[in-house]
Amino acid sequence: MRRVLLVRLAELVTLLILISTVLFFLLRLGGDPATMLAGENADPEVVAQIRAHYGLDSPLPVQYLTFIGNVLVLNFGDSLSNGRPAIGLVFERLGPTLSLAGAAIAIDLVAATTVGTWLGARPRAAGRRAVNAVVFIAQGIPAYITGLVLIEVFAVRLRLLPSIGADGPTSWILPALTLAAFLAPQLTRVVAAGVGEAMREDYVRTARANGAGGLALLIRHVLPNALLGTVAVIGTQFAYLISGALLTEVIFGWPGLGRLLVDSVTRLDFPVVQASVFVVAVGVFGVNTVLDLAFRLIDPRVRATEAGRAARP
Amino acid sequence: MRRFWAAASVALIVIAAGCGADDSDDAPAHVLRVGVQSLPPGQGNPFTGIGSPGVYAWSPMFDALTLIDANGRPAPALALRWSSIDPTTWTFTLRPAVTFSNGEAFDAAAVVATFDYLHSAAGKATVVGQELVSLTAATAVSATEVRFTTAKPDPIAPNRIASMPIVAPRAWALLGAKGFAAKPVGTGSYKLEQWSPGKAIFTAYDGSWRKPKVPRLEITEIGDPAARVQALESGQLELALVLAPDQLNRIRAAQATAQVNPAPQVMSLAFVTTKGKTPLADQRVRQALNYAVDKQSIVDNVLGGLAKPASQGATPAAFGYAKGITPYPYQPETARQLLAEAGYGNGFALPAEIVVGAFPADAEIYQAMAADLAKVGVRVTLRQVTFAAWLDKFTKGSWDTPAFGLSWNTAPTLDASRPYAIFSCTKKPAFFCDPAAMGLQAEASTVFDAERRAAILSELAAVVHDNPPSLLLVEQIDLNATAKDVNGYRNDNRVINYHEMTVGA
Repeated sequence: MRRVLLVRLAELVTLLILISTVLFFLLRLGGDPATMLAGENADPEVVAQIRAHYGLDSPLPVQYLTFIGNVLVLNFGDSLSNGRPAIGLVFERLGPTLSLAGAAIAIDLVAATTVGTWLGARPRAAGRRAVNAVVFIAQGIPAYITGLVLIEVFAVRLRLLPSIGADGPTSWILPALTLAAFLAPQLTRVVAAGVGEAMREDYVRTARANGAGGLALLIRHVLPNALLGTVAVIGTQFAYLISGALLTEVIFGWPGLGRLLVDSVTRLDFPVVQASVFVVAVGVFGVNTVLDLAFRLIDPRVRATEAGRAARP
Repeated sequence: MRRFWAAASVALIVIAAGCGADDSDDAPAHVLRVGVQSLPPGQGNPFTGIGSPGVYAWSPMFDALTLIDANGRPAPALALRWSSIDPTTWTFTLRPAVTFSNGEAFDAAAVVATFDYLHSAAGKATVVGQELVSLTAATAVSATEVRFTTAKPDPIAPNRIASMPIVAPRAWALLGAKGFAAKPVGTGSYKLEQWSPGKAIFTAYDGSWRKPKVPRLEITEIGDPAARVQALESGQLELALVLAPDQLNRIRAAQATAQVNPAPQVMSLAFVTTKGKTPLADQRVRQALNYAVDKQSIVDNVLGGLAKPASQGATPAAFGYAKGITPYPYQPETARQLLAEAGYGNGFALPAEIVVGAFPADAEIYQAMAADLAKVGVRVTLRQVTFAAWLDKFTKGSWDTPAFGLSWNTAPTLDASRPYAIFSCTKKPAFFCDPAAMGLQAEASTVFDAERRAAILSELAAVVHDNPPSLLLVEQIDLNATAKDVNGYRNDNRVINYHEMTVGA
């Protein structure tokens, strides 16, 4: 386990240096932040002055070395738009993003496990085809549309739930449902496939022969095996949510990381973009690593394979 | 399983009903909730931008000496009156007994302190500082009188001064630009309570010279215009700003009031004639393109009939708008004839770089324009670029295409001379240059008599109309909406009178 962690850490450092480097040069192709700050009718002298103030007048390799040196001590500099530390702005938005992602994943997990298990366990049940069709169609509905429909029903028509901001517990419901509605169909299909496969396994047949059945069979014998395959999907979905579900944030006025990232790219606010991408990369990597380790703990086959590999001369 | 679903549905409804959305019909009369596309990234530092989105969040807190009224004329704000002593000196008499929300007195020293910052190296690097470069000094004559000097005669100095919000001098000196952004202090109706990501909350400043009627103001960032309309419909907003024309019916169906304000911009496709050989160098070709586009159809079909076809660079609200000039009529036959006379009877290819998302329905407008131009043989290829890339090319003059999207913008001075300077030889580097217009342009920048100046600008508009530097499309609009229980809304050039608005009976 320790070795795995060390390898992962080395991978993370390499990844961060690569991402930071590529991003550094890509961003500088987008335009001149000094011009953005000074406005379209700015005096060239003023633009030059701004460039000098932010060190944008140095040769690009010098700027890059300074940048990488600062990244190593987690100093991304101040936002060009408002002068506040870029990393602080990112953390300010990370909370709402993580909490929304957590709520969405929870709904996603409950809905997908319930529906997916039913679909996988009852292949001949009445209504299975209809539910399957709904899941299939739902997979193709963009979150933007779902969000606007949910707002229309629950905020505009029924006036039950708020649709803007992150002001109270109820403000989580619609955006979390929107994201979950986008993610759940995919997970449902994976769960259904996993449960369907597990139901045909010998150990399930044996359990049945020994008298197990109904919910007990599902919970004790089928789901622990079937859900293993869903761990990777949940990891991918969580990573997607951490990087900011932009459209959902836009329509719900949700103060998350996705909106900050896009706004900062538009304004050429290099420090904020670099800090955002850094934090997202660490987050995504972290989630995947945790899931990977969890996978090893849950599934004895993985440990056995690893042990076998290690023992091989 | 059935029981589970039933229980889950009931639970959801109970939770929702128990802690539901803000009661729409009984919207609290003590809060005015506003939805905007975005909040200014510079937060409470009012020198980091001009116009929207900043103005919507700064105007509750700050005042300038003047403001520009609906007719493009400077009107009293923190200054009661002003006059020019000589061509390069203006005197402003300040409103007495005004205090900042932190208790500091507003006086001539405060005006001078604000100006001095904007005139410093750091201040000149701000967008507002750039607007004021023609002003060279500010001097306090007495506690209520300030004198401004200009480098050259400047008949629209009072208009420029409308872009200079006065900040509390001690707070600014103590906090600096960064600190002030988080704790802004002005003379406006509201003071900042909290600026959190995506939301700014203000409380009434009862000591303000324009005390508000609603004690609390909340401005929320909602990026999507459809979501802003839905928030208005569901009673979560009293005022939704910057909406799209295709939402008009929906706004009306919700018994909200659609507020259509002329924007200070005219949408156009600018011609680059200063960079090598191009068909656009020929005046007849440029006229032909103006004849070839059915602007009324764009107005009717894309902008819901809310806007007007553009006849000139200024909009009717701007000073110097020439009433006698009409838009180029839609005459594709004339266009073909002019193109043939110029030697382009078979048309030509016209790539153009545009930025979309800056105006309501701008992408659709450019597409309609391209379709009309194709009918006379001009094959337009629209290349969408980011604003940052566009700005880089605009400031450096490094255009890759012979045409690009550029609005004629009279903001913030609302004076026609501003866009005429940009679409002319005076812009450095210029993309279009008509020496014939230079004399009138220079005259308009030195004449103080308003009537004579208006006549010069009208004459200039006629010259530019006949030798067009761009394909004029439409006068743009701002579409906002207020909930049915909101009264007293007014919007002068995007400065909203929050303090006069009321909510409820």
